Amino acid sequence: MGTTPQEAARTFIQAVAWGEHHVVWDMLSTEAQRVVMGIATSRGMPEPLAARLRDGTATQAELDQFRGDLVNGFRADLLSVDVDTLDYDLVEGVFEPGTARVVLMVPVPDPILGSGLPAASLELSQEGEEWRIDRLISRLAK
Amino acid sequence: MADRPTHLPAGQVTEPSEPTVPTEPEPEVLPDAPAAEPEAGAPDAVADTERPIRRYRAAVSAGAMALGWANLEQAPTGATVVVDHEVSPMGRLGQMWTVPALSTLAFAVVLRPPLSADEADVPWIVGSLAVAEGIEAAGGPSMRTLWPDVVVDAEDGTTKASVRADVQLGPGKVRIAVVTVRLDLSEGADPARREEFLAAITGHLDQRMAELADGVAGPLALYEKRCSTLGHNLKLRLIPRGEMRAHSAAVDPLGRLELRSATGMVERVSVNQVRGVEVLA
Repeated sequence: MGTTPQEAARTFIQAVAWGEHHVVWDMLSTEAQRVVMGIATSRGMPEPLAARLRDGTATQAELDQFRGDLVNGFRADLLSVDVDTLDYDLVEGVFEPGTARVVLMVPVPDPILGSGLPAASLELSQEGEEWRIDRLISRLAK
Repeated sequence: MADRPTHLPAGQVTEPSEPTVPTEPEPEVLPDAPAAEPEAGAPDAVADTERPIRRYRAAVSAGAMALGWANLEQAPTGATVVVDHEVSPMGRLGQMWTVPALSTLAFAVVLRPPLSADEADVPWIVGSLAVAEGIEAAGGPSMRTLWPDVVVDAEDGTTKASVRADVQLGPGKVRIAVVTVRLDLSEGADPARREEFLAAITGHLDQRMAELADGVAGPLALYEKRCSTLGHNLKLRLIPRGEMRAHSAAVDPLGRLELRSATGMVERVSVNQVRGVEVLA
């Protein structure tokens, strides 16, 4: 899904935009999936449903609903961002090996503002050969 | 009463130029009309000869006048307001209709459709369908629809009409729906044919609304056949969710656009959720 952090970030953002909910889920790191489940239960998801989602016995409708809500949450984080025009800038040298941060830059034509404005950033970690998403940090949405 | 509008008796249709209306601003322009008969029963088709019509040379908008008529004077189903010059011709989300008034047929029809509150988007669908059918019936070109509010020339894709549905809800049901139509007569249609287009579109609107008594399925199937939004990849700007892309698969029985992703995620968006729709190549 992503052999470089930038490629993984681009694939993830496109999957969010196109509503590919299973791709979005599969691209989350193991730790991120655990955190998402924790947030869901803290916000009122019934524990039996959370357990079914965790152990893979949830119905297709339950799975679609949960992952669809997740996608819409990411979309809210990307509110007002045109994903077609984003640049994916890798922040180098500040993270441990096997982790990375990619900044999603919105191009700005005004040279005074530089090459672009950061709209969000993605923190990634490497699992095997693949880069996966740990967090999406929005700079624009509330 | 010379400066007061004249309510046309049922069945009386006049030329637009006939001085039957004032140019006073609201609220003075409200017609000095007798209260219409209270609506009773299902919205049966109303023959054009029986249609109460009010005409204004100028008004804020046809929809506003029709809503006022419906709410303050119990305008019956099919009651129609025709405005020669709309001061504020706003469509969905306040989008302005930019075709000059001289080249526009603007009118609004009061409806009391047998719809539940969940079906509040259906008047957009039925209105668009009736406009497309009416234009063709009056000898215009073949028409297609773009969900939820645009009717385009099937040949070249240019916008020929916009539709706006103002829906007011009662307990669990649609109480009033006012469908406002703005038709571009600047190309390929003689403005003198306004009355033909008006009669044809309102006639089809009556017919489709009457069919709603048997359910939405019939008009919906006809709408889907004409809808150019379906079967394409779309980019949508949603309120408040931001941007999304998906494949448009259908219009559901509630009038919502049904979208599917490559992984099978199905989303249904209502008219009020959509800020913009763009068909992707």
